[in-house]
Amino acid sequence: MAPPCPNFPARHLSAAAQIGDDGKVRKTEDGRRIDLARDCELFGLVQYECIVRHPELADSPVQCWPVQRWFRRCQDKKGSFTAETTAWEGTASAATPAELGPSEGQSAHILAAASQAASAAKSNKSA
Amino acid sequence: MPSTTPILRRLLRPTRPRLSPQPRPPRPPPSSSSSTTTPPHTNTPPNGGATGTPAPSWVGHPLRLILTTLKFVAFTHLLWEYVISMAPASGPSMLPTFEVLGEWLLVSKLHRFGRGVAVGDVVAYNIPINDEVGVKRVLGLPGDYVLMETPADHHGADGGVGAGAGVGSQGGGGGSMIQVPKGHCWIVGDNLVASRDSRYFGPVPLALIRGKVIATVRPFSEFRWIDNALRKADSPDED
Repeated sequence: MAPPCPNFPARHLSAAAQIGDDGKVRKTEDGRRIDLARDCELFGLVQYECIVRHPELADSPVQCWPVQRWFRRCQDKKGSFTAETTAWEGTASAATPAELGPSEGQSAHILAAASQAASAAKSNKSA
Repeated sequence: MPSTTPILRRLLRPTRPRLSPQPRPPRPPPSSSSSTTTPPHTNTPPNGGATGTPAPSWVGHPLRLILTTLKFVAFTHLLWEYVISMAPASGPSMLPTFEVLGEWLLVSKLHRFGRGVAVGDVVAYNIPINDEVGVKRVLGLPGDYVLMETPADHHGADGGVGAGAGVGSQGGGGGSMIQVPKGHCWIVGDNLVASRDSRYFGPVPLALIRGKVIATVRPFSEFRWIDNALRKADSPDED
Protein backbone atom coordinates (compact mmCIF):
# COMPACT_ATOMS: atom_id res chain seq x y z
CA MET A 1 0.00 0.00 0.00
CA ALA A 2 1.39 3.29 -1.06
CA PRO A 3 1.77 5.96 1.63
CA PRO A 4 -0.55 8.97 1.39
CA CYS A 5 0.96 11.46 -1.03
CA PRO A 6 -0.43 14.94 -1.62
CA ASN A 7 -1.46 15.88 -5.13
CA PHE A 8 -1.08 19.31 -6.71
CA PRO A 9 -2.30 21.03 -9.87
CA ALA A 10 -0.02 20.73 -12.88
CA ARG A 11 0.45 24.50 -13.02
CA HIS A 12 2.38 24.24 -9.73
CA LEU A 13 4.83 21.71 -11.17
CA SER A 14 7.69 24.23 -11.32
CA ALA A 15 7.44 24.72 -7.57
CA ALA A 16 6.78 21.09 -6.66
CA ALA A 17 9.83 19.99 -8.65
CA GLN A 18 12.03 21.93 -6.23
CA ILE A 19 11.46 19.33 -3.48
CA GLY A 20 12.94 15.83 -3.62
CA ASP A 21 11.26 12.71 -2.27
CA ASP A 22 13.29 13.14 0.92
CA GLY A 23 11.63 16.51 1.54
CA LYS A 24 14.82 18.47 0.85
CA VAL A 25 15.19 21.28 -1.67
CA ARG A 26 16.70 20.15 -4.98
CA LYS A 27 19.64 22.08 -6.33
CA THR A 28 21.72 21.87 -9.47
CA GLU A 29 25.46 21.21 -9.37
CA ASP A 30 26.14 24.94 -9.27
CA GLY A 31 23.69 25.49 -6.43
CA ARG A 32 20.76 26.96 -8.38
CA ARG A 33 17.10 25.97 -8.15
CA ILE A 34 15.75 23.61 -10.82
CA ASP A 35 14.20 25.38 -13.79
CA LEU A 36 12.26 22.76 -15.75
CA ALA A 37 12.37 24.68 -19.01
CA ARG A 38 16.02 25.68 -18.82
CA ASP A 39 17.78 22.81 -17.02
CA CYS A 40 15.80 19.78 -18.09
CA GLU A 41 15.90 17.86 -21.33
CA LEU A 42 12.59 17.31 -23.12
CA PHE A 43 11.39 13.81 -23.97
CA GLY A 44 8.23 12.59 -25.69
CA LEU A 45 6.31 9.35 -25.31
CA VAL A 46 3.32 8.30 -27.36
CA GLN A 47 0.48 6.29 -25.88
CA TYR A 48 -2.82 5.52 -27.55
CA GLU A 49 -6.56 5.33 -27.28
CA CYS A 50 -7.55 2.17 -29.11
CA ILE A 51 -10.92 0.69 -29.90
CA VAL A 52 -11.42 -2.94 -30.90
CA ARG A 53 -14.20 -2.61 -33.49
CA HIS A 54 -15.60 -6.13 -33.13
CA PRO A 55 -14.40 -7.67 -29.87
CA GLU A 56 -16.25 -10.89 -30.63
CA LEU A 57 -13.96 -11.53 -33.63
CA ALA A 58 -10.43 -12.87 -33.17
CA ASP A 59 -9.05 -10.75 -36.02
CA SER A 60 -11.13 -7.65 -35.41
CA PRO A 61 -9.77 -4.37 -36.77
CA VAL A 62 -8.31 -2.08 -34.12
CA GLN A 63 -8.40 1.68 -34.43
CA CYS A 64 -5.93 3.78 -32.42
CA TRP A 65 -5.42 7.50 -31.83
CA PRO A 66 -2.08 8.73 -30.49
CA VAL A 67 -1.83 10.58 -27.21
CA GLN A 68 1.40 12.53 -26.92
CA ARG A 69 2.92 12.82 -23.45
CA TRP A 70 5.85 15.03 -22.54
CA PHE A 71 8.53 14.53 -19.92
CA ARG A 72 11.49 16.54 -18.68
CA ARG A 73 14.55 14.79 -17.32
CA CYS A 74 16.42 16.95 -14.86
CA GLN A 75 19.71 16.60 -13.08
CA ASP A 76 20.21 17.69 -9.51
CA LYS A 77 23.06 17.11 -7.09
CA LYS A 78 21.74 13.70 -6.09
CA GLY A 79 21.06 12.36 -9.56
CA SER A 80 18.34 12.62 -12.17
CA PHE A 81 14.57 12.69 -11.92
CA THR A 82 11.72 12.91 -14.42
CA ALA A 83 8.70 15.17 -14.43
CA GLU A 84 5.75 14.64 -16.71
CA THR A 85 5.04 18.01 -18.31
CA THR A 86 2.16 17.06 -20.61
CA ALA A 87 -0.22 19.39 -18.80
CA TRP A 88 2.44 21.96 -18.03
CA GLU A 89 4.22 22.63 -21.34
CA GLY A 90 3.04 25.82 -22.96
CA THR A 91 1.17 27.11 -19.92
CA ALA A 92 1.87 30.45 -18.29
CA SER A 93 3.54 28.72 -15.33
CA ALA A 94 6.01 27.07 -17.71
CA ALA A 95 7.26 30.53 -18.64
CA THR A 96 7.74 31.58 -15.00
CA PRO A 97 11.38 31.57 -13.93
CA ALA A 98 12.08 28.84 -11.40
CA GLU A 99 13.83 31.23 -8.98
CA LEU A 100 10.45 32.77 -8.19
CA GLY A 101 8.67 29.47 -7.84
CA PRO A 102 9.35 28.02 -4.40
CA SER A 103 9.25 31.17 -2.36
CA GLU A 104 6.31 33.08 -3.68
CA GLY A 105 2.56 33.09 -3.89
CA GLN A 106 0.53 29.94 -4.29
CA SER A 107 3.57 27.72 -4.64
CA ALA A 108 4.58 28.24 -1.04
CA HIS A 109 1.88 25.96 0.32
CA ILE A 110 3.17 23.08 -1.80
CA LEU A 111 6.60 23.39 -0.28
CA ALA A 112 5.07 23.60 3.17
CA ALA A 113 2.98 20.48 2.53
CA ALA A 114 6.03 18.60 1.25
CA SER A 115 8.13 19.61 4.24
CA GLN A 116 5.34 18.58 6.62
CA ALA A 117 5.01 15.21 4.89
CA ALA A 118 8.77 14.68 5.16
CA SER A 119 8.87 15.61 8.84
CA ALA A 120 5.84 13.40 9.54
CA ALA A 121 7.60 10.50 7.84
CA LYS A 122 10.71 11.13 9.94
CA SER A 123 8.72 11.25 13.19
CA ASN A 124 6.92 8.03 12.23
CA LYS A 125 10.29 6.37 11.64
CA SER A 126 11.66 7.47 14.98
CA ALA A 127 8.47 6.30 16.75
CA MET B 1 54.82 -20.16 4.52
CA PRO B 2 55.37 -22.07 1.28
CA SER B 3 55.85 -20.05 -1.86
CA THR B 4 52.84 -19.93 -4.12
CA THR B 5 54.92 -19.91 -7.30
CA PRO B 6 55.20 -23.71 -7.69
CA ILE B 7 51.45 -24.03 -7.09
CA LEU B 8 50.69 -21.38 -9.68
CA ARG B 9 53.11 -22.96 -12.10
CA ARG B 10 51.40 -26.31 -11.62
CA LEU B 11 47.99 -24.74 -12.18
CA LEU B 12 49.09 -22.86 -15.27
CA ARG B 13 50.86 -25.84 -16.81
CA PRO B 14 49.03 -26.93 -19.96
CA THR B 15 47.32 -30.18 -19.32
CA ARG B 16 48.06 -32.99 -21.66
CA PRO B 17 45.12 -34.82 -23.06
CA ARG B 18 44.71 -38.12 -21.34
CA LEU B 19 45.40 -40.82 -23.79
CA SER B 20 43.21 -43.82 -23.73
CA PRO B 21 45.11 -47.07 -23.85
CA GLN B 22 45.34 -48.60 -27.23
CA PRO B 23 43.23 -51.72 -27.44
CA ARG B 24 45.48 -54.60 -27.59
CA PRO B 25 45.00 -57.03 -30.40
CA PRO B 26 43.29 -60.08 -29.09
CA ARG B 27 45.47 -62.95 -28.52
CA PRO B 28 44.91 -65.82 -30.77
CA PRO B 29 43.28 -68.63 -28.91
CA PRO B 30 45.66 -71.32 -28.05
CA SER B 31 45.34 -74.00 -30.55
CA SER B 32 47.27 -77.01 -31.18
CA SER B 33 47.22 -76.72 -34.89
CA SER B 34 49.14 -73.90 -36.40
CA SER B 35 47.19 -74.15 -39.59
CA THR B 36 44.19 -72.07 -38.39
CA THR B 37 45.05 -68.49 -39.06
CA THR B 38 43.50 -65.47 -37.45
CA PRO B 39 44.04 -61.94 -38.70
CA PRO B 40 46.69 -60.19 -36.64
CA HIS B 41 44.52 -57.08 -35.99
CA THR B 42 40.78 -57.15 -35.53
CA ASN B 43 38.54 -54.10 -34.77
CA THR B 44 36.86 -55.59 -31.77
CA PRO B 45 35.83 -52.76 -29.41
CA PRO B 46 37.18 -52.88 -25.89
CA ASN B 47 33.75 -53.13 -24.30
CA GLY B 48 33.32 -56.69 -25.15
CA GLY B 49 32.19 -56.51 -28.70
CA ALA B 50 29.10 -54.26 -28.39
CA THR B 51 28.62 -52.10 -31.49
CA GLY B 52 27.98 -48.29 -31.50
CA THR B 53 29.21 -45.53 -29.20
CA PRO B 54 29.54 -46.19 -25.52
CA ALA B 55 26.66 -44.92 -23.35
CA PRO B 56 27.24 -41.55 -21.59
CA SER B 57 28.34 -41.76 -18.00
CA TRP B 58 25.19 -40.13 -16.55
CA VAL B 59 22.88 -42.95 -17.58
CA GLY B 60 25.03 -45.58 -16.03
CA HIS B 61 23.22 -45.83 -12.72
CA PRO B 62 19.61 -44.98 -11.79
CA LEU B 63 20.77 -42.82 -8.89
CA ARG B 64 23.04 -40.86 -11.18
CA LEU B 65 20.17 -40.36 -13.62
CA ILE B 66 17.91 -39.02 -10.85
CA LEU B 67 20.67 -36.70 -9.65
CA THR B 68 21.23 -35.36 -13.17
CA THR B 69 17.49 -34.77 -13.62
CA LEU B 70 17.31 -32.91 -10.31
CA LYS B 71 20.28 -30.75 -11.31
CA PHE B 72 18.61 -29.94 -14.63
CA VAL B 73 15.32 -29.01 -12.91
CA ALA B 74 17.14 -26.81 -10.36
CA PHE B 75 19.14 -25.07 -13.08
CA THR B 76 16.02 -24.45 -15.18
CA HIS B 77 14.20 -23.08 -12.14
CA LEU B 78 17.13 -20.77 -11.39
CA LEU B 79 17.19 -19.53 -14.98
CA TRP B 80 13.40 -19.08 -15.13
CA GLU B 81 13.10 -17.35 -11.77
CA TYR B 82 16.17 -15.12 -11.79
CA VAL B 83 17.35 -14.61 -15.38
CA ILE B 84 14.68 -14.88 -18.05
CA SER B 85 11.19 -16.25 -18.46
CA MET B 86 8.47 -16.35 -21.08
CA ALA B 87 4.71 -16.19 -20.62
CA PRO B 88 1.62 -15.65 -22.76
CA ALA B 89 -0.16 -12.30 -22.52
CA SER B 90 -3.67 -11.32 -23.47
CA GLY B 91 -5.88 -8.28 -23.14
CA PRO B 92 -6.41 -4.90 -24.78
CA SER B 93 -4.60 -2.73 -22.19
CA MET B 94 -1.30 -2.63 -24.08
CA LEU B 95 -2.66 -2.12 -27.60
CA PRO B 96 -1.11 -1.43 -30.06
CA THR B 97 2.25 -2.46 -28.56
CA PHE B 98 0.91 -5.98 -27.94
CA GLU B 99 -1.99 -7.69 -29.69
CA VAL B 100 -5.08 -8.69 -27.72
CA LEU B 101 -4.30 -12.41 -28.13
CA GLY B 102 -1.42 -14.68 -29.05
CA GLU B 103 1.53 -12.72 -27.70
CA TRP B 104 4.30 -14.43 -25.76
CA LEU B 105 6.49 -12.06 -23.77
CA LEU B 106 10.14 -12.54 -22.93
CA VAL B 107 10.72 -11.10 -19.45
CA SER B 108 14.13 -10.23 -18.04
CA LYS B 109 14.13 -11.25 -14.39
CA LEU B 110 17.37 -9.34 -13.87
CA HIS B 111 15.10 -6.28 -13.61
CA ARG B 112 12.85 -7.74 -10.91
CA PHE B 113 11.92 -5.39 -8.06
CA GLY B 114 12.43 -2.54 -10.53
CA ARG B 115 16.23 -2.89 -10.73
CA GLY B 116 17.55 -0.88 -13.67
CA VAL B 117 14.05 -0.03 -14.90
CA ALA B 118 13.66 3.41 -16.52
CA VAL B 119 10.72 5.61 -17.43
CA GLY B 120 9.36 4.29 -20.74
CA ASP B 121 10.15 0.61 -20.10
CA VAL B 122 7.46 -2.08 -20.16
CA VAL B 123 7.30 -4.23 -17.03
CA ALA B 124 5.48 -7.31 -15.81
CA TYR B 125 4.15 -6.87 -12.28
CA ASN B 126 1.88 -8.48 -9.70
CA ILE B 127 -1.39 -6.56 -9.80
CA PRO B 128 -1.85 -5.23 -6.25
CA ILE B 129 -5.62 -5.74 -6.20
CA ASN B 130 -5.75 -9.37 -7.31
CA ASP B 131 -3.47 -12.36 -7.82
CA GLU B 132 -2.86 -11.83 -11.52
CA VAL B 133 0.21 -10.63 -13.39
CA GLY B 134 -0.11 -7.53 -15.55
CA VAL B 135 2.04 -5.76 -18.13
CA LYS B 136 2.25 -1.96 -18.23
CA ARG B 137 4.58 0.89 -19.13
CA VAL B 138 6.51 2.74 -16.40
CA LEU B 139 5.87 6.50 -16.42
CA GLY B 140 7.34 7.41 -13.06
CA LEU B 141 9.95 6.17 -10.61
CA PRO B 142 10.55 7.22 -6.99
CA GLY B 143 10.78 11.01 -6.76
CA ASP B 144 9.37 11.60 -10.26
CA TYR B 145 6.29 13.73 -10.99
CA VAL B 146 3.39 12.23 -12.93
CA LEU B 147 -0.02 13.20 -14.15
CA MET B 148 -2.63 11.29 -12.17
CA GLU B 149 -5.27 11.27 -14.89
CA THR B 150 -5.44 10.52 -18.58
CA PRO B 151 -4.24 13.39 -20.76
CA ALA B 152 -7.27 15.19 -22.22
CA ASP B 153 -9.61 13.11 -24.36
CA HIS B 154 -8.93 14.18 -27.89
CA HIS B 155 -10.95 12.10 -30.32
CA GLY B 156 -14.58 12.82 -30.97
CA ALA B 157 -17.51 10.60 -30.20
CA ASP B 158 -17.67 9.68 -33.90
CA GLY B 159 -14.18 8.23 -33.66
CA GLY B 160 -12.52 10.97 -35.64
CA VAL B 161 -9.12 12.25 -34.66
CA GLY B 162 -9.29 15.54 -32.88
CA ALA B 163 -6.78 18.17 -31.91
CA GLY B 164 -4.39 15.79 -30.16
CA ALA B 165 -3.20 15.87 -26.59
CA GLY B 166 -0.63 18.47 -27.23
CA VAL B 167 0.77 21.33 -25.30
CA GLY B 168 -1.08 22.23 -22.13
CA SER B 169 -3.93 19.97 -23.16
CA GLN B 170 -4.99 19.23 -19.59
CA GLY B 171 -7.20 22.26 -19.27
CA GLY B 172 -4.50 24.90 -19.14
CA GLY B 173 -2.26 23.08 -16.68
CA GLY B 174 -5.13 22.05 -14.44
CA GLY B 175 -4.48 18.29 -14.29
CA SER B 176 -3.62 16.77 -10.93
CA MET B 177 -0.11 15.51 -10.36
CA ILE B 178 1.72 13.64 -7.63
CA GLN B 179 5.28 12.88 -6.74
CA VAL B 180 5.88 9.13 -6.84
CA PRO B 181 6.77 8.06 -3.28
CA LYS B 182 9.94 6.20 -2.34
CA GLY B 183 10.02 2.54 -3.30
CA HIS B 184 7.13 2.91 -5.76
CA CYS B 185 6.55 3.45 -9.45
CA TRP B 186 3.73 4.78 -11.63
CA ILE B 187 2.59 2.47 -14.40
CA VAL B 188 0.08 3.10 -17.19
CA GLY B 189 -1.08 0.86 -20.04
CA ASP B 190 -0.41 1.99 -23.62
CA ASN B 191 -4.11 1.80 -24.46
CA LEU B 192 -5.35 4.52 -22.12
CA VAL B 193 -9.05 3.73 -22.53
CA ALA B 194 -8.81 0.03 -21.69
CA SER B 195 -6.21 -0.14 -18.99
CA ARG B 196 -6.55 -0.52 -15.25
CA ASP B 197 -3.32 0.84 -13.85
CA SER B 198 -1.87 3.41 -11.44
CA ARG B 199 -4.63 5.85 -12.42
CA TYR B 200 -6.93 3.33 -10.72
CA PHE B 201 -4.89 1.82 -7.85
CA GLY B 202 -2.16 4.43 -7.34
CA PRO B 203 1.61 3.98 -7.16
CA VAL B 204 2.79 0.37 -7.29
CA PRO B 205 5.51 -0.92 -4.93
CA LEU B 206 8.70 -1.75 -6.82
CA ALA B 207 8.70 -5.07 -4.96
CA LEU B 208 5.77 -6.12 -7.17
CA ILE B 209 7.77 -5.71 -10.38
CA ARG B 210 8.50 -9.20 -11.71
CA GLY B 211 10.76 -8.12 -14.56
CA LYS B 212 11.17 -6.02 -17.68
CA VAL B 213 9.56 -7.10 -20.93
CA ILE B 214 12.38 -7.21 -23.47
CA ALA B 215 10.78 -8.92 -26.46
CA THR B 216 7.57 -10.32 -27.83
CA VAL B 217 7.38 -13.63 -29.59
CA ARG B 218 4.55 -14.90 -31.75
CA PRO B 219 5.36 -18.58 -32.08
CA PHE B 220 6.73 -19.47 -35.52
CA SER B 221 6.02 -16.04 -36.98
CA GLU B 222 7.51 -13.05 -35.22
CA PHE B 223 10.19 -11.95 -32.80
CA ARG B 224 10.37 -8.28 -31.88
CA TRP B 225 12.45 -6.44 -29.31
CA ILE B 226 10.55 -4.08 -27.00
CA ASP B 227 12.56 -0.93 -26.49
CA ASN B 228 12.12 2.10 -24.29
CA ALA B 229 9.42 4.36 -25.76
CA LEU B 230 10.79 7.61 -24.36
CA ARG B 231 12.29 9.68 -27.20
CA LYS B 232 14.32 12.84 -27.05
CA ALA B 233 12.44 15.83 -28.47
CA ASP B 234 13.45 19.35 -29.43
CA SER B 235 10.30 21.23 -28.67
CA PRO B 236 6.78 20.36 -27.54
CA ASP B 237 5.44 22.43 -30.42
CA GLU B 238 7.12 20.31 -33.09
CA ASP B 239 4.05 18.24 -33.90
